Amino acid sequence: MIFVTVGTQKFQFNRLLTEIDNLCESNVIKSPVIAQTGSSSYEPKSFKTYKLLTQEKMNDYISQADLVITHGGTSSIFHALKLQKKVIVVPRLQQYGEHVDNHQKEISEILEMQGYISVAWDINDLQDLILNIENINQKIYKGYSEMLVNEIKNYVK
Amino acid sequence: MGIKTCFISSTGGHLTQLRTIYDTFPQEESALITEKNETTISLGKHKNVSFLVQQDRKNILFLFIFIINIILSLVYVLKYRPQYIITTGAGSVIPFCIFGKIFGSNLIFIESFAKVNTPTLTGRLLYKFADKFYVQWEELLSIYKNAEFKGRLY
Repeated sequence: MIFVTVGTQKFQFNRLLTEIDNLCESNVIKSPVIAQTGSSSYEPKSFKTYKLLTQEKMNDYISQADLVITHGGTSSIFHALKLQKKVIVVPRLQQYGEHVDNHQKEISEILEMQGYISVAWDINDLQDLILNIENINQKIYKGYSEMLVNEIKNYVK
Repeated sequence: MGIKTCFISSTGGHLTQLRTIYDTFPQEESALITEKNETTISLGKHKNVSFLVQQDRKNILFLFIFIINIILSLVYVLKYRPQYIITTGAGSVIPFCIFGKIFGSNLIFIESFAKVNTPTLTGRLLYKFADKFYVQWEELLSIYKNAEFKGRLY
């Protein structure tokens, strides 16, 4: 199963949902798709969508997924990385009215450079990334938060 | 028992990161201060949660809101008199942190995870005041010479 998530902000991300719908219709994507669509207005024909999901449901779907395709929000990306999923990120871009600015590119770039994720810089790259995902090696992300939290706790003691 | 540690941040990602720490601390000795909006209002049910007015540099009332937040910050510092202040930014936390330092608090600043190569304005300013300054990306160690990289809040 492929799980798609576009976060909770008030901007649409129709560009991503349309492309995935097209890839399903043209049979490039053969596995089932489930998507969390937020404020997007596009209604996909080929897969099931939810506007918003609770944290628990979100966890369930990501756990079940073989691949997570997400916008460039840190919360969504790290959710998937911590569950050791393959991740394709499509950054939201200001020019398409998908966010107030292009900050999703910065975090996408660094995580791609460090080998944790794959990024579709152009929506047309998505097809190749999906078809080749099995052959793409992504590093396992080890959450560091315990280390920093303990460090601070020791200081505050 | 008094309040030992005050946690303060604006909303959104800053608060998510701050809560990674706050949620592991004993609530009865900790206070949480953040901006009030529809995503944080439910936190008001908890003990020792205080609010600042949502601050936004582009708002025409910015100066007025900022002054209110300066006054609120002083009130909260005097109310809690924290031994430690832990913050992840952004701008609205500055008055509280500076008042805290004046009244003897120990300031711990964690630069936002979302910034990889460039420091935040708040980070640059509070770097001068902080007793402990953490970055979440090693790249920033070249900008903040005395900062430490000890892991991340995600």
